[in-house]
Amino acid sequence: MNQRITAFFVVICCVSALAVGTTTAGASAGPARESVTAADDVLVPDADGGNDGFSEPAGAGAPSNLASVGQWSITTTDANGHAVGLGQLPDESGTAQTAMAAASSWWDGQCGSNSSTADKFDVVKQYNRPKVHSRMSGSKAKMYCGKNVSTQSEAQFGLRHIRTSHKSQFASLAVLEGRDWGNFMHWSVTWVISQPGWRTVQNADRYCYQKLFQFHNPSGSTFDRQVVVILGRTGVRIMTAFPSTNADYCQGTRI
Amino acid sequence: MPPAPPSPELPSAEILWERLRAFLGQWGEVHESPRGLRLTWGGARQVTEVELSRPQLAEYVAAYVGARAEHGLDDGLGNGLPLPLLDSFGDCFGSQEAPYARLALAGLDLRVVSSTS
Repeated sequence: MNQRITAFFVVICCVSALAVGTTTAGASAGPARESVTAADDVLVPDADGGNDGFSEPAGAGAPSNLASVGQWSITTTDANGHAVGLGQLPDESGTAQTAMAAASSWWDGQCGSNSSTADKFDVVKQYNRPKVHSRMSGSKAKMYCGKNVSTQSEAQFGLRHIRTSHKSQFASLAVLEGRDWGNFMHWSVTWVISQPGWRTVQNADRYCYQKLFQFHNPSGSTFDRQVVVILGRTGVRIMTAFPSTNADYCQGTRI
Repeated sequence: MPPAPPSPELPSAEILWERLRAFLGQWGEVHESPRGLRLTWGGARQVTEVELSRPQLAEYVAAYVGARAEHGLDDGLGNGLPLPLLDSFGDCFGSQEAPYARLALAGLDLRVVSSTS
């Protein structure tokens, strides 16, 4: 076990079962990424990288055997309880920028899939996150390029992790409205972070946010999904985001 | 060469096991199984099973904490267990839709190794 874990400090060299980050067409369509030093969690040297060689698990995507794919509508509710559709954003978000960031394939074109994580703290996107707890820093949560495998120095996080582990789950829901996985992920994360259904201090190192999303087809049938976002110790780093069937996922003290 | 830092003192395998059990227990009923620990949740409709033994957990934690100490880092534990273990469990369990999923360690992370649909 020691040898196996220590090996993570050197290099991870596996072949991912999931192709990621090969699209370049959308790369110039979105806002330029900023390269910064992360202000979240303990920053320590890290020489890891690479993919984990595991297939993406069958997770909380859309229910099977759904009709009228592409004709569904996806909604959530704003702070006033009004339904808002996919693409509609909280007032403070800036629709022009978001429309570009949400363009099809844009999220596949960010950060790449190479084994180097020298750029793991490059910021792909920032989200308005009200400061609601003493441990939180600033008023933004940040989607970093991140990494898709944990090492002793830090857990997996950010876009690379979400794309590797949860892309297909977002995609299976997004396609119901004829949208791209990144389109739905970005829109839902924006709402979850800025106006969550509820949020908790999960432990000394994590915040948990979740919010309900509803899926309606033209014949009137519906189903729900939660979208969960986990933030790091200071509420800045987006560790992960995924759809969930669990209405009680976020545990801990509500804030 | 500077002297190696002292190895941090770790809780017993039993204490670590109870920590893991308590962590999983946030979401439902936890029982031991031949493979490890089974979490039943979602109104008893879904099961998430972690394939891990007490000795494996103790070895995993010791290796993790020891490697961090060698690099001058703190123990990196959250809720008394390695953060990658807790985070990766949440990732697998939180997005689980199948009635049953089995998780096992791959490096520092838990991954879904089997699920029913």
